[in-house]
Amino acid sequence: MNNSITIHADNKKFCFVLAGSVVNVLENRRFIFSLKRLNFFVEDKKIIIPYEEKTQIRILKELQELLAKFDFSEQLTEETKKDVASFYQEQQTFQEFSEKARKIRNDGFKENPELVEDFDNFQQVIKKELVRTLYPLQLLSAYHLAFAQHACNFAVPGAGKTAIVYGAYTYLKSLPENYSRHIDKILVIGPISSFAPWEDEYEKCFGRKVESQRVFREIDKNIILQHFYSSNPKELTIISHAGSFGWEKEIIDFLKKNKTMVVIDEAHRIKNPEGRSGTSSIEIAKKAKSRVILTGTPVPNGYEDLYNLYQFIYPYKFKDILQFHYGNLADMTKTCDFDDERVKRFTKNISPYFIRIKKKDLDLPPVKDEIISVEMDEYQREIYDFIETKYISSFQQNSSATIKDVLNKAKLIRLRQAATNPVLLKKPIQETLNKEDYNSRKDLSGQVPEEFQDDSEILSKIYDYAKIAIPQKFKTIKEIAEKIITEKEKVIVWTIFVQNAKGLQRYLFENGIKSKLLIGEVEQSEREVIIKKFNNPENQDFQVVIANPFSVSESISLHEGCHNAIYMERDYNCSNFLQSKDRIHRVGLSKNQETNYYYILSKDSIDEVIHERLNDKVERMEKIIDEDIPLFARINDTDETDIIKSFLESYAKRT
Amino acid sequence: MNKETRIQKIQEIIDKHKNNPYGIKEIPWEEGDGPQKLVSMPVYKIPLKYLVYNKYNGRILSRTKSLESQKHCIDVESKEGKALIEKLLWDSKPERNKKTLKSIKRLGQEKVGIITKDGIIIDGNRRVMLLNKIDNSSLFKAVVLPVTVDEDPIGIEKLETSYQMGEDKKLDYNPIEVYLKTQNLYKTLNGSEYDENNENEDTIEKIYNWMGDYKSDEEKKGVIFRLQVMQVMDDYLDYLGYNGIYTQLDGREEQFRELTRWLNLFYGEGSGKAFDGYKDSDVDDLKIITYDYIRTKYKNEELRKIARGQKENHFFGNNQSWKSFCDFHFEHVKDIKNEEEKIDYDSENLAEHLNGRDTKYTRKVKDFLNENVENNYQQIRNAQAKNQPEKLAKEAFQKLVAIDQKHKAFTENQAQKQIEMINQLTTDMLNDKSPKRLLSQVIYLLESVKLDSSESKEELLKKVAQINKISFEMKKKLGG
Repeated sequence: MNNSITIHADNKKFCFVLAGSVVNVLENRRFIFSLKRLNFFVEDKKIIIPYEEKTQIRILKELQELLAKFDFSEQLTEETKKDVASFYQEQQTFQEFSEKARKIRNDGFKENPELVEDFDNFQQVIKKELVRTLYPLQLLSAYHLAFAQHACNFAVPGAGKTAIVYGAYTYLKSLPENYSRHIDKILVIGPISSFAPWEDEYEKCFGRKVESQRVFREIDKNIILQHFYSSNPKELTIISHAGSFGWEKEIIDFLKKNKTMVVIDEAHRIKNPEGRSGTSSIEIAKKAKSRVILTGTPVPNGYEDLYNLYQFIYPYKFKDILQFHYGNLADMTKTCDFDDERVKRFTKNISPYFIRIKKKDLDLPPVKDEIISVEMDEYQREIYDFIETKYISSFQQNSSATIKDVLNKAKLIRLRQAATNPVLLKKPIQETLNKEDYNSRKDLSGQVPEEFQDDSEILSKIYDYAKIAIPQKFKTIKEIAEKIITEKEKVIVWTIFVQNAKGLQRYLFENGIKSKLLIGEVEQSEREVIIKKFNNPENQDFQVVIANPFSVSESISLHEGCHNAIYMERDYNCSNFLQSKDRIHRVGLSKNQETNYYYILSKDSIDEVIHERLNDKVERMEKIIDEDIPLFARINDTDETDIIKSFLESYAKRT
Repeated sequence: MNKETRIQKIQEIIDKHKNNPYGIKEIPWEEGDGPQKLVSMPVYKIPLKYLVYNKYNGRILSRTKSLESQKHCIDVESKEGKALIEKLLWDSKPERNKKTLKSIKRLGQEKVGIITKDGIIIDGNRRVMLLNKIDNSSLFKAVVLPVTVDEDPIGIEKLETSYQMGEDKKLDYNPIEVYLKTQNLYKTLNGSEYDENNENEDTIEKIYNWMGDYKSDEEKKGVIFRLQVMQVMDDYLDYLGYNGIYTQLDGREEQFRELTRWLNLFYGEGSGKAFDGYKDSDVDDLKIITYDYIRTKYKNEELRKIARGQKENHFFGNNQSWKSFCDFHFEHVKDIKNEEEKIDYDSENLAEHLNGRDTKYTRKVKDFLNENVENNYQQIRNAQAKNQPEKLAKEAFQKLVAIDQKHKAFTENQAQKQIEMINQLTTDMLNDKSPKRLLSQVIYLLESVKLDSSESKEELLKKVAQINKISFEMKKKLGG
């Protein structure tokens, strides 16, 4: 390569000046054609390309790409290197980073002895600073993150992502202050439910309480402002996803003054109001010394979701990493299977910058699943059969239950209610569901099939039910709970219906069992107290928690105090089901700790169909979970057509 | 006759017939750029000698602009200038002119024209040209606007546009005129050229109100699209050094519309219809290559294969296909372009000179361009049929059978190398799925070896021993 070009950014005239083998550039008609698009002109035998402040880096990158494309070598003038420092630094360290990160990721220590020393050094720091022991894969992930400085961790729920981040954080913090990689603050953007875990985990990792500032709606604005502009701010800042959009300027000011690791927790939850090219999180990213993305669901909708995540991790180089545009990725989601060559190529491109800990990597102790089949009492059976017969003919005519088929979906809810507790049928659907859950099913409101509510005979049976009977499932749960409690253990009961949660709590109370609810209407502060007590094996204020999978999901660990879960009933939402299971089956369990799941099914009812179909779905989901980039959109959690079809088959067999 | 005299003479006619004009005609008129309304205006008969052609008439705009770009000054008041405009007007639609000429001869001037108070013809240039052909002492029935072009350029432009280019009348025109007219209007109304980063919405709305829809370009975005097409056309002319010679766009309208759509879609690196991770500079290459194709008036249906539709249907949708298409193009066209004759800007007839240049270029590159499209299109078709192995294998087989093995070229290194590659590939394909078939193939091969060739016996024996050894190993492995 004999052609060489020097690039200088003239800050006063807002233009790049290209000097050197200019004549050769001007002889290349393809090159000129591209330069023309960048509005070039020639002055004093130099090529001039104007820019604006906001386009400077983009145009510089394009110039570098063009020079490479046409075989010109290129260098920046010293002044320009300073001028575009953060870009230049990323570019310089990037190559080295990528190579080494790939090796760390692939556990390539044997072939790379230089890494061993580095890793030993890292482990020593971790040993010294952390009171918690990281399991090997956590340690490797923390090392990968500390080394890369900016990375994604796509570990499955329950893998202990928080401890990984604290491991990396403490290593970077231990570096001498004058090192460019040194940091001493951590700022987390995550769901409100993650606030307490971030604080608690800090204590578990470092053996001391953290000074933290929470930023969300309920905190006094002045206190938040004082924190952001303090000369000695608290070490941990935790901001809710929604909150981060209102405090962009303050966050950026904070990052300018404090050497901070910025973590986006449950990153798939971020809905960027400015769309895919949203500038706010990118601007924040540019000012952060270290950037971390955490999510177990990196691509909730499609591969294009990774575009934003990688733009956050590497705001300048992300396109070079991905080598796919947003449109390409969206197209890939639509047209490609997971084993398609394009998906493989894409995964390879992005792999140095993420670590995924799969469920099978966690090596968790075994679980025991127990199916408990209960006979409905005669009143419940009668009500259930009545409703079932009423719906069966309409299901035969139309068995579709996609998101659009609200009527059929509502009928399925009614069947589930009848199978679990007929009292639920008294109320309109929305009153029986949890607030968050109901929000996702809003369409049901006006179209609830209340036909049986006009039938006075069945209606009086439904009304009388509460007076004359206790649902069989309540009784069974009580029996299991009693057994568990006698063994000084705790249990979590999962139910879809908020009315069931309340009814069961009352029933258990009447039978001398104290319980707490974790459903949508419970305030955040109260939740945190409940979770803390429940997690503490010593605390015996209550032994049962009744929860709704919609309100208790990501970021909540219950495995320290509880190893038993009872499912009163389930719907066909596989992600929620698995999330709920993960609450008590996570990293940190001792090797011989058994975790028990009890599934209560009403005999000869929709429960059995759901159980069977859900198992199939879980199997498919677990295969996807073990992919590097698990595209869960391949499993449709809103379509319940399968259920209706199987229900019709099972009904035919029964009758 | 100078302007002042014309104003005076026309005014005399008006004054004389003020109370008794030839007729009344409603025209959409409003001075300036305000909304037009229908105004009843008297019609007078004006002698042809008081009239002057409008050289920027929408019908011949591209021609007059091209000529002026070629340093021809067109003085419409001179005898030569007048003759030139008359020729351009006649050539713009000869067949239609012949028809109208006949009709005027038979019935006289049917449709009333519009002129300014100094005799510039706003509507009716073609009719005046035809009347002049028949009898230059006859009279032209026209409404006389109360202004000159200089006094109200925008009002006149608006009237001319809406009157002549409104709705379906545009289709009577040479297509390039519509784009040029749109561009000119934008410049006149906005004061500067169209810039997509700084669009003047008011101007676009006005242009839309005056010109309406054209082809599939609907509403205001249709106006924007025309402005974009014209920008691409200008860029093409600049690329070839043909700046301002709009005649060189003739017969290429649809291709430019196609290309403009691609550029709109692909620039900005956001399209899912292009290959993964493409860059804007790849779109530059797409543009430059398409220009080379457009220059040869390449058929639009064929041109589409380059970049139209879903990604699996065109070259720009697949990285490998694009690279192969691109490399072949630049490799083969480079020398032809370098060897092209220089443009003689002093040519007496620049347009013809350039046409000749384009024709020579087309003759030289045509085969390469066709071959490149055909080859790559075949590959795309093959990729589309990847799930029909039988079909593809059959096609490959038929092609191999068609080879004339006696041809001298067959023994050449390149051809033999290709055959060897095919052999290797088919062997691998068989081996993957059925070793038994592969062994049958080996037997067939061994049986068909011709031992009486001129090659050394020693070498052949060595190979046979090797085969023996391999068979023995295999037998052992299989426990036989």
